[in-house]
Amino acid sequence: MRHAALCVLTLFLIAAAPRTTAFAESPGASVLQIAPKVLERSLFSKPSQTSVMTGTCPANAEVVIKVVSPTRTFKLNRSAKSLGFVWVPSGHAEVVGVPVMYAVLSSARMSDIVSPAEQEKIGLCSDFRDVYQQTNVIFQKDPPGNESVRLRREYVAGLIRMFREGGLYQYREGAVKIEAGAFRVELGYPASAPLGEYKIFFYLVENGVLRLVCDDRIRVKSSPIIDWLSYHAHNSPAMYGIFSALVAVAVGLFVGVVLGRGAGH
Amino acid sequence: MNVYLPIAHVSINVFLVMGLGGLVGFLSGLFGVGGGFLLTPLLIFAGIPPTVAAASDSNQIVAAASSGAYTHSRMGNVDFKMGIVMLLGGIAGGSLGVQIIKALSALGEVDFVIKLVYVVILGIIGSFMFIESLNSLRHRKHLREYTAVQEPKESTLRRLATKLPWQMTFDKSRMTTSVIFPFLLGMFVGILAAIMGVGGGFIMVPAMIYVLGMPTIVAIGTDLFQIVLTSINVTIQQAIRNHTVDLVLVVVLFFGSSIGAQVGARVGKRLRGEQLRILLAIIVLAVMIKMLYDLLITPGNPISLATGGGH
Repeated sequence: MRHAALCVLTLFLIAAAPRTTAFAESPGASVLQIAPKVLERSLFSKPSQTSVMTGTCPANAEVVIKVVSPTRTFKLNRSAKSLGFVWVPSGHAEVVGVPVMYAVLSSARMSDIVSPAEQEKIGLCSDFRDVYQQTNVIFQKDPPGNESVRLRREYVAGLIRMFREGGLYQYREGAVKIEAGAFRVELGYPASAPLGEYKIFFYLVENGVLRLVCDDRIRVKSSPIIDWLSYHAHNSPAMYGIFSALVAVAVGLFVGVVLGRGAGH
Repeated sequence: MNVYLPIAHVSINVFLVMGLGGLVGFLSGLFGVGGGFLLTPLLIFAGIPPTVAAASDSNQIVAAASSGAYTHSRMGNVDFKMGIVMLLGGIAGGSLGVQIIKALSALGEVDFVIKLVYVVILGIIGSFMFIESLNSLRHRKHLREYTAVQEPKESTLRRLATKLPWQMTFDKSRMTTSVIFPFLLGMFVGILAAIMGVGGGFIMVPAMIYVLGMPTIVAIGTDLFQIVLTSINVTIQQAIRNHTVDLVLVVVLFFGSSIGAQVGARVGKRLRGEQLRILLAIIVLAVMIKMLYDLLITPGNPISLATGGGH
């Protein structure tokens, strides 16, 4: 009886052991773990929320991770000099289907481990040229035929530049640290990163060959109060406006009564 | 500590926002003028999209003006009849201004127009205040003699207003004038309120004193009363048409501005009027120059977001 109980306990422990360990024990197997898998944006969350990606990889292998956010549409202005001295918007376009966040993280210099052709094919180029191909640019006024291609590129490049400056587009060679067959990398998600499911692709480069090991998801969601405010601001704007005004009047009267004098206007 | 603004889609240091609110509240208490015309550009400099900055500033003004209007109404300084006429003009102007913003947003020009209107209005007001207060400092002695017998002179516009139809007597303001006049004034300020996110006190109060001929204290109280209702209208219109009112930003701003206004009012008592006005003129001109500089320098990136950045 005692022996049987010990067997059951052993089987239970084996079954309950983390899958990663099981994978790690089999030589050559690689895993990716993401923690946390859900990032909740609250009123007081940090300007950039961090998710840590860890895992195992074979010896002498290099790691490449690509993170792509949901896409959005952006209305853009293109400024040009007017009257010889003032910069005014001279053209407008809508860029459709652009990923708002795009990160490429690797354990070594990309040019040392992945060929340019392969970088372009998989979307690992440092100039994010993959994005140029997957987005559509709709001009408010159609430019002359020979200008169209140049302007299309200029709008997307300008948007990518804004995203890079805002920490949304990241290209970090050497960010993935490998030690004793285990890798680790941190990725910051700025507050301006969109809500939704992000795709994460985990590649290994072994003997000069790049292969996709697995892909996973991470979700960025907002807290109930942010959801409530955003929802009503966009879906019941009249109620939201009246509510905002009433809150302001209530706060103003409260301060007027408590402090006994106006706060100016 | 950061606060995430759900409509602006920006995470910003809560103390920076409170500090901006506090600074503008301080200046508001110090100079006895608005603060909306300073707060919107400061918010834009801090990284808030211009459309969100202007709309949220309008909502912040509702809170600040309610506080002031309550105090003035208790002291009997509000001409409700005049306030309602101006309010009707303000509502018409505010609604028109929001439509202008909406039309400009569709064209992708709104941010540029907000900045341009600011440069022009701040330039005019700042220059006027600077010259006027500099002259006052130079001729203080002469000014004292003038203020001792201060009684607003009857302007040409005021004389014209008495000849227009729909004459109405305003007992609290001790005057009779055509309702068209305060209505148009309210309408003009309403348009500015929507485009610039300001209460308009810096235009309305001098106009009520020097153009309409209202007593100063009644002009201030009445101005605050109509600003509360005009700004409520602008807030609701902005929320409906442009979805750009960020309530979180408003609450944090007002928390700072209510404290700043109290401190400013106390400090202001220790300074002379001309000194205060010239200081305010310098601040107004500095903000104007910064906005003008942004329009004139070659942008680092010729591509910019048309709707102010929310996504």
